[in-house]
Amino acid sequence: MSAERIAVRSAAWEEFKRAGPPPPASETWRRTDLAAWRLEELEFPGASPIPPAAPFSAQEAQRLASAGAELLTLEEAASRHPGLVAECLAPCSGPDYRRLEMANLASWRGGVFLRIARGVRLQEPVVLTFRQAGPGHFFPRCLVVLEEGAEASVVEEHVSDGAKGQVSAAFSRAVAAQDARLQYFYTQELPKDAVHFFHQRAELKRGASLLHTGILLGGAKHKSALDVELQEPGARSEIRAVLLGSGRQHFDAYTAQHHCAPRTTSDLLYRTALRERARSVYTGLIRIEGPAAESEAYQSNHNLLLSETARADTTPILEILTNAVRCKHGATAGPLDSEALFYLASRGFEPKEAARSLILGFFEPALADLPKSSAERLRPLIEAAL
Amino acid sequence: MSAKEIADLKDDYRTKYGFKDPEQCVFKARKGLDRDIVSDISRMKGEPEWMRDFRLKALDTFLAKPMPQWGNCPALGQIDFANLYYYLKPSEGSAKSWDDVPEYIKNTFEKLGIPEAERKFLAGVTAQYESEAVYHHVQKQLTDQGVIFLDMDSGLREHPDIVRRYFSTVVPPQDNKFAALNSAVWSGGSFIYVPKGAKVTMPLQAYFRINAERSGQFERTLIIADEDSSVHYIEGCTAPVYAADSLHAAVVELIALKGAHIRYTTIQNWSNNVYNLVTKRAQAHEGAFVEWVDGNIGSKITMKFPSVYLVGRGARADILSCAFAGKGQLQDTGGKLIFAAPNTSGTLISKSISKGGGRVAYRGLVKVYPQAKDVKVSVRCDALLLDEQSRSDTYPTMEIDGERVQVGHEASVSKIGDEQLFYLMSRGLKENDAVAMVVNGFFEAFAKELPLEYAVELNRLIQLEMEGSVG
Repeated sequence: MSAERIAVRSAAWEEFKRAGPPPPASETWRRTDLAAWRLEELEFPGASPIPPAAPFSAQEAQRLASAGAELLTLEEAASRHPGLVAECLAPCSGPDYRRLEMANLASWRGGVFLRIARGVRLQEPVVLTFRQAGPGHFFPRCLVVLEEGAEASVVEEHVSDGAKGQVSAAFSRAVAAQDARLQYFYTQELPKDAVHFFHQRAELKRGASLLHTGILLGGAKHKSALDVELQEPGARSEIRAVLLGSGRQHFDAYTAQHHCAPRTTSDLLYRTALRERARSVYTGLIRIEGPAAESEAYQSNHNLLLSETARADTTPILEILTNAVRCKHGATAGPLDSEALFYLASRGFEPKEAARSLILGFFEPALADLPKSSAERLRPLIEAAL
Repeated sequence: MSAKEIADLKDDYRTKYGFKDPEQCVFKARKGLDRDIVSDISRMKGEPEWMRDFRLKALDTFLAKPMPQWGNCPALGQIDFANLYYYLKPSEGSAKSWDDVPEYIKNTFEKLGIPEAERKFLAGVTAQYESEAVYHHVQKQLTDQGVIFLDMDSGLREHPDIVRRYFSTVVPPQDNKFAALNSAVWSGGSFIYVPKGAKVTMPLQAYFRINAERSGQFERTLIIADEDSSVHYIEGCTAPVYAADSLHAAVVELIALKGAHIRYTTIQNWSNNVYNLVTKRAQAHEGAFVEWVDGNIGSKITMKFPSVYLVGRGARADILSCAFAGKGQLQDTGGKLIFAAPNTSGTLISKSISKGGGRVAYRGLVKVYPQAKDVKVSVRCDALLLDEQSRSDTYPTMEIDGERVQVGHEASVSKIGDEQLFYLMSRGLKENDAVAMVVNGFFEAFAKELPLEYAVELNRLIQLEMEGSVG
C-alpha cells in the first residue's frame, strides 16, 4: 500500500475521531438518528485492510478495456495511477455527512474507479455489485468519470449475503465531461435489518446529461443524498426514483438539483409507496444560482400511503436566486385513487389485484429505462414485495 | 399611472407614513430588560398577581431560550435586546370619543386615515399608539350583541375571568423565544369576545403604530368566538421611518369554538427598519372555520407563519398569505396547518413577489396526526421575481401520518412572462403599466379578500413599491 493512501486513511481517521455527532437541531439528521450507524464501534483498520472481492468480474474489466474503458478497484487505480489517488480519495460530501465520509475514507475497501475514454460509447451497461459479506461495517467507494462525448450506463447494486446486523456507508462520485451522456442506476436490495447510507455527487459539464434512477427496497434504516451539480451551460439531468417500504422500514432520502450555469435543465420524479408501518422522509432541493439564467427545473414527489399506519414526510424546497427561470414543484400524499379501484373492480379485478396493478402503474414511469438485466431482477422483487 | 405620479407616490411615503412626532410619554420604562422592569410594567398597569407571575416566568423562559437557528439568523443576531425600551405609556388612559384624544396623537391618526374609517361607520376602532390603546370606540350595536371589543389591558381589568381562562392557551411562552419575550412585556393589543350565536357583520379594526425610537412593540391579541358566532378582525400596521432598528414581537391567539367563524386580516406595512417577529396561531374546534388573510409589504425582516390547529371534527382553515420584498427586505412568511381531528380540511395559498434584491421565503408546515382521518389539504405557492438580483425560497414541509388523507402541494417560481408583457403592450399599455397590471393580477386572489379601502391601499402600496422597476 502506498504511503499516500496510508496518510489519507490516518488523516481521515483523525478527523473522524474529532468530528462529533451532529447537533440535535441538524435539519439533515433531525428525522434519522446517526447512532444507527454504530460508528463508535469502528476501529482504525490499520495500514493493510484485506480487500474483499472486487465488485466486478475480471472478464468485465477485460471487456471494457477492449471497448476503451478502464475498470479498476480503487487499490489498483491508486497503484497504477498514483496521480489519481487524490482525486479518488477527495471528500465529496458536505459538512452534514463529514463524520460518515471520514469513516468511509479511513476504512474503505475494494472501491471502484471507472473511466470511459473520450468519445467511447458503451453498448452494454457496466454492473458494479457491492455485496456486503458478514456482519459489521462496509464502506464502498466509487468514482466514475466520463470523458468528453463518452456514453455509458452504470448500475451500482447494493446487495448482501444476508448476514445479520450489517451497516454500510457508500460514497460515490460521477463526473460527466462536455457532451458526455451518463445513465446511472442505483439499487438498494439489502436485508430488512440492514442500516445503509448512500451519498452520490454528480458533476455535469457543458452539454452533459445524466439520467439517474434509484430503486430503494431494502434496509431497516436507509438514508441517502444525491447531489446533482449542473456546473456548465447546457447541462441536463433527470432523476427518477422508486421507493417501496413495508414493515417498520425507515427511508430518508435527499436530492439536490443544483443549477450553477445558464441554460441548464433538470427534472425529478420521486415515487414512494408505503405499507404497514413504513415511514419515508423525502427532501428535495432545487437551487438556481444567480448566474444560471434561462434555466428550467421541475420536481414531483408522490407518496402512496397504503395503510393507516404508514407515514410520509415530504419537503420540496426551492431556492431561486435569479428571475429568468421556470421552476415548479409538486408533492402529493394519499391513498390509492378510489375511483380507479372502482373502475378496475367493475372490469372484474379482485381488489388485491386491482391495487397491485395500480401500484405497479404508479412506479412504471420511474422504471421505464432500466437496463434489461436489472429489470429482470428488480421487477419480480417489487412484485413479490406487493 | 404616469411616471410623474409614480414618482410623487414614492415621495409621498415619508409624509404619509414616515412622519415622526416628538415623543410625549407619561411614563417610559428605562432601557433594557430585567425582573424589575417586568415587575414595574405589571405594577404600572395595576395587574393581578397571576399576570405578574406569568410575566416573570415568561422572562426566565425568554432568557433561557436560544435564538432561532434557522431563517436569517445572522440578521436576528443584530437585535440588541438590552438597548430597547420595553414599555411606554403615552397618555393617561384610554379615550372614549375622538374629542378626548390628545392633539398630537390625533395628528398621527389624521395622517393614517383613521377618521375616514370612522366616517365609514366601520364597526369599532381601537387605535394603538405606542404601547396602549388611546382611542377606543365601539358602536352601540356591538355592545347590544354582547360583543366585547377592548384593548388587551382593559380586557384584563374588566373581564379577568375570560382572560385568565383563555390567555396563553394557544401560544404558551415556551413556544419560541419571541413569544416568551412578548409574554413577559406585552402591552396593548385587542381583546375580543363574541358571545354564543352572535354574528358581527361589520369588520372590527385596529391600527398599530410604533413611534418612539428604539421602542419595542409587544401587543397581545386574544380573540374568542364562542359557539356558532362569527367575527372579522382587521389589523393594519404603519410605522414611521427611523434610523435605529425597532422590534415588533406580537402574539395573536384566536379561539374558534364549536361552529364559530373567525377571519383575521392583516396588512403589515412597517417601515424598513422594523424586525417583525410575530407568533399568530388559531385553534379551530368542532365545525369551526378560521381564516388568516395575511399581507406583508413592509419591515426589514418579517418572520410570521400564521397557523391553525384543527382540533375538532369537521374544522376548516384557510390561509392566504401575500408578501412583497423590496431592496434590503426579507419576507419570511407562510403558514401552518396542523390536523389533529377527523374530517378536517384546509387550503393554503401563498403569493410572493421580490424585486430590487429583496428576498421572500415561503415556509410552511402541513402536519396530519394519526387520529385525524379523512383529511384534505391543498397548498399552492406562486412566486414572481422581478429582476435577477432578487431571491425566492420555498420551504414547505408535509408530515402525513393519518388515514385517508389527501395532500397536494404545488409551487412555481418565474418572472413576468414576455408573452404577457408583449400582449399588454400590443394593446397600447406602456411597459411600466403592463408590469403593474400583471403584478396586481398576480395579487388579485389576495386583494379580492380585502375590504374595499384596504384593497385600494394595497394597490397603492404595490404601485409605490413598483416605482422604477422597469427600465
